[in-house]
Amino acid sequence: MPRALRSPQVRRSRQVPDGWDDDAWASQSDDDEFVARMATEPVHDTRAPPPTQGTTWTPLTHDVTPPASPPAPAPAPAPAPAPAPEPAAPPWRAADDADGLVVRWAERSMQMSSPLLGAHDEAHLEALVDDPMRLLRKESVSVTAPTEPAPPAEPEYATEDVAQTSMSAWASAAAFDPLATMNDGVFMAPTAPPPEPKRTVRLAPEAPVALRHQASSRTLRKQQSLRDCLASDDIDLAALRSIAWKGVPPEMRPVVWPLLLGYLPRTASIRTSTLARKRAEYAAGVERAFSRGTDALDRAAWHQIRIDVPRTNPGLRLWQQAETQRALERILYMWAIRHPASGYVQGINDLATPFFEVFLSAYIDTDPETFELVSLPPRVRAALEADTFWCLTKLLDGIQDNYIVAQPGIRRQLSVMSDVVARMDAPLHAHLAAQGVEYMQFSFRWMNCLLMREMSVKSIMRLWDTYLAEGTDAFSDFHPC
Amino acid sequence: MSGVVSFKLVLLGESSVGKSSIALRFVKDQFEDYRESTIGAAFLTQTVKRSDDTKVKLEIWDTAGQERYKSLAPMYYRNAHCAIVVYDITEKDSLENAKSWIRELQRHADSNIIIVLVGNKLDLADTREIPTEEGEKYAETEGLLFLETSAKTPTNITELFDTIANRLPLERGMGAKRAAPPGAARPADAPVQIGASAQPAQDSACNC
Repeated sequence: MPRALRSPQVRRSRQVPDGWDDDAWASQSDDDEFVARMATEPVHDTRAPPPTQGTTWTPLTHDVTPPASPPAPAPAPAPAPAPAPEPAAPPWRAADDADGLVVRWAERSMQMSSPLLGAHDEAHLEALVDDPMRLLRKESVSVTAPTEPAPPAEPEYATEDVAQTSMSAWASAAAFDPLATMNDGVFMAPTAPPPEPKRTVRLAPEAPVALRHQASSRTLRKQQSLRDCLASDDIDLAALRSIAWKGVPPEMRPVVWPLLLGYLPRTASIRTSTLARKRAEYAAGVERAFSRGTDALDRAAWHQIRIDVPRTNPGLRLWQQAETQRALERILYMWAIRHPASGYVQGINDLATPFFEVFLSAYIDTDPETFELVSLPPRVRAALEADTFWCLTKLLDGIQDNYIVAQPGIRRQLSVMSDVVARMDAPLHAHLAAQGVEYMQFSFRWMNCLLMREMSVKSIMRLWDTYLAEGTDAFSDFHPC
Repeated sequence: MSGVVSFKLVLLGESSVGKSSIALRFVKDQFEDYRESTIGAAFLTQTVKRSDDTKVKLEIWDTAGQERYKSLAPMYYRNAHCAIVVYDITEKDSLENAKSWIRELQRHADSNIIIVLVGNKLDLADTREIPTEEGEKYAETEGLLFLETSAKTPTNITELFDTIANRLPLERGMGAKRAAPPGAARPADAPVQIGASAQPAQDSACNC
């Protein structure tokens, strides 16, 4: 567990502002504990704003969908080791269904309309936002069809089921069955009864054919075993790790990564509600932090983030767009204020980018690095941003002592690497020593940015498949070896 | 062999004042409006001809500016012959940061170190927050060299390094025949000694 790794100083010095409790949040996605909490806690408690804030909180309509099985008020979960006291009931709690909401960032996120998308695409995107598992089902037909010796037909993959997807099913996140049928890359109006192919949003119909010609039967077998693993109502994480260690097909990363990180619950029944809740929590946090304008932000953190965001991946179009940059600023700032022991440290901006690109790839069929982010509906962008934030948080949980004062995590990793080199290539080690070259001088960045400055994002993604399969400790323990 | 003498330079200063841009302009004559932030430090070298026609090689450690990386700095200014402390003329706070670097150098660096105070981003003089005189006056009080530069246009970049090169005492440089002090990079033309250390060495050189 990442928490076990943190040094005592880190945990002691951590004073989470605004009443946000990091550990409580972190623990929520640890499956077992999470299920227990979900069963006993009203869902809105987890994003409760601080009781002491002077501002008035506006309820967010963004994705605030009650879980499929609405929990009744129940005794507090005794075993949950949440270290902080439960926040007081949020002042807006009673007004959850109130009208007259102020239109702010999070609410703008609700708007699905985008001039560049048709209604059908929007419906598809909305469904995908709510339930990313749809990504997999979409392609399973085309991938499994060709060479495999007749995999057992799974009814949920049958294309004709698509016609049963009604508007009401699209409309409510709670109504989404994570195992709901998805077609094979062809999307249609949710209300249109005839399952007539309209247009593709992600994979062109030809794309799987091309893939089919390139993929070996071994690759296909591996992909199928991954799909089988993911199709379970209660995903076997050990099996998933073992498959993912050898690499995850790019189109499955938006699902596999958050599962491995413990952000997406392995239990199917709580997936959509968890996602909705976490995104709402993030939106509420952003709302709270930015509601008083940027002048009210932590000056040092905001200053550094503002300097670094425009120079994050300066060569890639995606990262030069205002929309992307504002999103990255919010992600980094939210992380920084919740982790005051380290705060924002240069290099963390790099670590957010693979997640952002992976999640973006779920919604588009072009290269994320050249994509115009504004063409996505605000609600999709908000989900993308929140998912990136949570996964970045999960990743950094395992390596937070890389970024606190004196960066002990990095020093430890460098010493591990030095030991490994001494053992594996003694002459090189001796040569470096003889020349007075310190590992710190040439490999500090390898640890601080997890090789992101040394490799392309695509290579990094493949590398992280394995790291994430190893567990979040891999970024501190496995990386330097 | 050539008698090129090497000197160790270090660039210090707050984040985003243009340390890397100054180094890159000098070494590669390039400039980018947005460069990735420096993590840890970057290492560059450039050979320049002095006014007495001797050549000196400048080994430049371009450090990261963020406060969190400050604990790494001693490794880079230790044994440095020259420190270039940079501030941004459009950012009031950056001069204060530069002053704190200078105080640290005066306390902990080699007593003979040459310190240059540089006000960068002269191309943005319209939005200047720090008058030339302010930097100049401070540099004079502390006995530092002073220059205002722009890595973008470029202005005063070669002048900066020429001035430094001409001030460096040749006898104190890292000669090709002399052993490099700890923390200093090896001059390019010095022979590589493998197996000279206590580590049991194989016949071959390293695999790199």
